Amino acid sequence: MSESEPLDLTPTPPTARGTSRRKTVAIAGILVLAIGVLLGQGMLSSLNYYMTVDEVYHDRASVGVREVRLEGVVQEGSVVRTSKGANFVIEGVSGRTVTVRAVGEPPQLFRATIPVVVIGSFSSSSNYVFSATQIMVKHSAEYKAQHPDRVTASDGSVR
Amino acid sequence: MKPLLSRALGPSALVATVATIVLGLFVTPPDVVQGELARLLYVHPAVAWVALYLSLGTATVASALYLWPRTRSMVADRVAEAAMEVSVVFVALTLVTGSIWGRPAWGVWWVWDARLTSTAVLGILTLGYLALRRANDDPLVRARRSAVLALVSAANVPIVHFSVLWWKTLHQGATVFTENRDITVHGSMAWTLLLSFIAFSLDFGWLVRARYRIATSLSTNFDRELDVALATRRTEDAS
Repeated sequence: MSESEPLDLTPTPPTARGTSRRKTVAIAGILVLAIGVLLGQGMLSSLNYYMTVDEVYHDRASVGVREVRLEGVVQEGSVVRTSKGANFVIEGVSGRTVTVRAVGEPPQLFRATIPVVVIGSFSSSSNYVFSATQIMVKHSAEYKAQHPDRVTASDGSVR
Repeated sequence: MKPLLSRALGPSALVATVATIVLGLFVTPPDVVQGELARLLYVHPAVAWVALYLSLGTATVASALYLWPRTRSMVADRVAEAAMEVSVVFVALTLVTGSIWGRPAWGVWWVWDARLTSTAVLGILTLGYLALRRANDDPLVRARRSAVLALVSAANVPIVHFSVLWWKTLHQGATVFTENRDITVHGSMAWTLLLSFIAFSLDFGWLVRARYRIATSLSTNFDRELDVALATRRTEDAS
């Protein structure tokens, strides 16, 4: 570079940066809006891990015999252990029921009166008999001592 | 007062953690449904609390302070880095302890429900943060980029938190931050749960402080080495 041609050092306005920032904000805004709309429309409902027994009764035809995950509370006195696994009845909040024939060892905590999620399919496109390949226990966030009636007497002993 | 508080952090974290272990393993009763498994109640929720709210919360505030021109400082950057690094460990612990609990309680190690999946995504984001910090040597560029990523990662925290309300998940609903603030944990189990939150929070504070000190001394070393290199270069030019 010769001495006669000095570098052009006059400041230039940061136009490019300004528009790119505005563009970024616009894109972020559109993304947030899109997610909001999706959430509002319930279009993210496919993120639900299971259907409830009541939902199945509401629209039985759409379920057909495809594989689904189904949630309900195990009915008291309905559990029958079989050589392959267990048969039992699950109940929705409304009291409507689905009979489950499960193959495979039920989990440690499996028992009557607790909510479970079963994976499998209905045995025909219109009935309410469910063939499950897996049972999962959906326990609540309630914790209670195993012997809640145990109290400390005035003499300090535990009864 | 300040040095006393600072000196008390380590011992109090140790005492609270030991007390949680003793109460959790030996004093609290087994649960009516879960039996001995319920003892994970004194580990998993508190670990998740540190991972989601304490460490990502700290990193978010520090990153926002860095990005805001009037509060910009390398202290904020180092706090964010320390908190995010601790967050990686605690998100991993959340996933591991949850999985250990899930196998006997649910019957499966892992399910792709909304809570577990969003937590896994959070883990990947925090790992990405650490990768991004290694991607550039310029401290200012690194600080700005990682602060932006920290804020993006933090956007996932409410999704994880509300996932059990927004969608049907195999994971149970909130234990402590329930909708009607009605905690369904009884007696000594509730107190031990509270103690575990205090213990893990103190552990978090201790870890972040240690990590922050390392970051500070590394940066001081870097400056010193730079000064030495510049001095060497100048003597080369002079000769």
